[in-house]
Amino acid sequence: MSRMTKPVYVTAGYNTISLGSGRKEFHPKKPRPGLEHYIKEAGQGALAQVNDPSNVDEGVIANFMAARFNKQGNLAAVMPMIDPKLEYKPIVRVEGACGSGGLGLTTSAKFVLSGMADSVLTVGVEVQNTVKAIYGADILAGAGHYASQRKAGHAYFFPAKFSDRSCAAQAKFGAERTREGMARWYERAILNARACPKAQEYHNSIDDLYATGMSPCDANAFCGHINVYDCSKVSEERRGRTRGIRPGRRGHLEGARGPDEAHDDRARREERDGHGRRDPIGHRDARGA
Amino acid sequence: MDLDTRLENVAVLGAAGKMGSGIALLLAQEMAKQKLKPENKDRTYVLHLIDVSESALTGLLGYLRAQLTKAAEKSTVQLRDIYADRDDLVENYDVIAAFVEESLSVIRPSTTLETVKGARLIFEAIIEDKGIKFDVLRKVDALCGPETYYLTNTSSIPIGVLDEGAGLGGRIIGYHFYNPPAVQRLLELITTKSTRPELVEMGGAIAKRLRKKVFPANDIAGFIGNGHFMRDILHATSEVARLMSEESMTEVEAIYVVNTVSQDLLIRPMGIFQLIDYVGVDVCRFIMNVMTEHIDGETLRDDLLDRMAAGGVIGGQGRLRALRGGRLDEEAQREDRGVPGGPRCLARAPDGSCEGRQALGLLQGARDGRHARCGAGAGLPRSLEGDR
Repeated sequence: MSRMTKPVYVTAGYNTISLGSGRKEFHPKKPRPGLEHYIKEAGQGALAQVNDPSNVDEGVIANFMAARFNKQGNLAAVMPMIDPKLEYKPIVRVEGACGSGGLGLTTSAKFVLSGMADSVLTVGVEVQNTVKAIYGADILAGAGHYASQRKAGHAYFFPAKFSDRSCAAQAKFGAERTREGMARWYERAILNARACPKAQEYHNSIDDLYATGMSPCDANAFCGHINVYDCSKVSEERRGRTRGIRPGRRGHLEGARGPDEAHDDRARREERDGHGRRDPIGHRDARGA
Repeated sequence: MDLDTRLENVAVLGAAGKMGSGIALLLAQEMAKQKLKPENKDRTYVLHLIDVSESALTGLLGYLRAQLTKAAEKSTVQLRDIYADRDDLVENYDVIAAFVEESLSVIRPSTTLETVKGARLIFEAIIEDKGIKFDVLRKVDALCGPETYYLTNTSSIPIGVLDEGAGLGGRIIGYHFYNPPAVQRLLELITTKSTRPELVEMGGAIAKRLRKKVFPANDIAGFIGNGHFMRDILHATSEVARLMSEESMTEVEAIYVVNTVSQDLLIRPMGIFQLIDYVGVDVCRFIMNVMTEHIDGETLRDDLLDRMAAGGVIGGQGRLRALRGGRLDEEAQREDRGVPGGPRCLARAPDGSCEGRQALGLLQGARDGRHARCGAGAGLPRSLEGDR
């Protein structure tokens, strides 16, 4: 199929906050909202923008590894918590690692294009700070080929992959220039986050972001070619979006659906170690679509 | 006998105490790492943890498991290399759990001194009482024989005195960890003229393995650390007396001011009275007594500490945080409900009232500018006030 057989529209959306160490609400030793909280907030936020939730024909929920991070499978069954009118609606859960949110949206579009649904509520959610970063790394490694890669992989599996890329960049451009570039990247990411009230690093108040980004890498504690501040860039630069999918009646928009948000929590808690260090692993708190 | 051989059989005396438990933690990790080396697969490693109370030893094992887990979590990058050949250990969780179990497997807790027979390195961290140390070291040496070396964590008693009193013939060095041993990197190493050179060398090698930075100290009561600390205390309490006399402050107000100044303006992690509380009023008095006994022409004694001790205030592990935080932490609040006997807040007055609470009022008052006669708050730069 070279083109969509009919137009599909995003008609409403809602983002939750990205809860992490860069927000005042975050406290590593206090209870935090769980999956259900975010699913309900995101879904209800989107449905509030449509006339009647009963107009939703189907639902899609996107998530990565809730069965391990949250001990909760069968997320589709959680969706009716958003609104009782979603009970008995067809709902599926999709997973595609970091692409789970996008997969949720394309799945919803396909439902509409197939003619099986006129409107679909799509929700993406992640709560990954239920475990310490060092254990979260194991779970996130499931996005790679676990059987062939995990044993040989680094303690911080995916950060180490990016560390390898940083190493290659250093070989090509020099260690100093590469680090300067990474530090500038970090600075811009946080400045972006400060402009978004729902971003994880919205409350980040570090004065000299560039100097922070220039922190040396510690191969013994983390990775040899990236520091812990290099981890917040992707999520803070590009926050997710809500997408409701529905065909327009006579070509215009109607209805509304859920939010999508991606975010990473880079909290290094221990206790820390009490050393004020940050969590080198991304802990996604919520995602709605 | 080389160090690797000696590390096969080690004992910690007073293992359930503040310092002993930290030393035990460090040794358990090091011995587990030795055990995991391929060349050591046929060796057996044993760490005897000796203390007087079964319940304390039970608590010690819980402490060690928790701390070993934390330590393993922080060193997982290295542990994955150590366990690279173990195909059954795939996840970080597997690796961490395996190392914790490996470390715990070397531990033999006991309340019976006789179990240390066979130990070739003995870390002594019992009560800072010369007579008791003499007695225990003599008994242990009779069990272990002349091959065994001793590393004492005494922070005040001259090593020459211990060596002579216990009859160890130069087989003992001062090996003073800082509190908490698992965190603080400095380690005082004290030798005497009769200390065996091999032991001195071994002490340095052990410190390196435990990732400690050694600084040698002369064999003078109190050594470097407490030599400074005890005199700091005396200066601080003399300042308290001066503020009471010249500035008409109450004792609580004066303690608060001196504590604040000694933290904020000296850029220290805790104020002098918080540190006394952390170390323990009783321990400070013990140390002062020992130093007075062994240093000619100087008497280290403090009336304020004596009054606290007489009132049952022995301090302990951070109760004085109330002064800094402007509030009693939950634990302290719980204990404060249970006067007498329960609370050990350093700021508690001999009559049983909690001066910490008065201090809290003072803190709030200082913030509000109501305590005009108190220099706290009003006389400090705002930048130093902000984090209270």
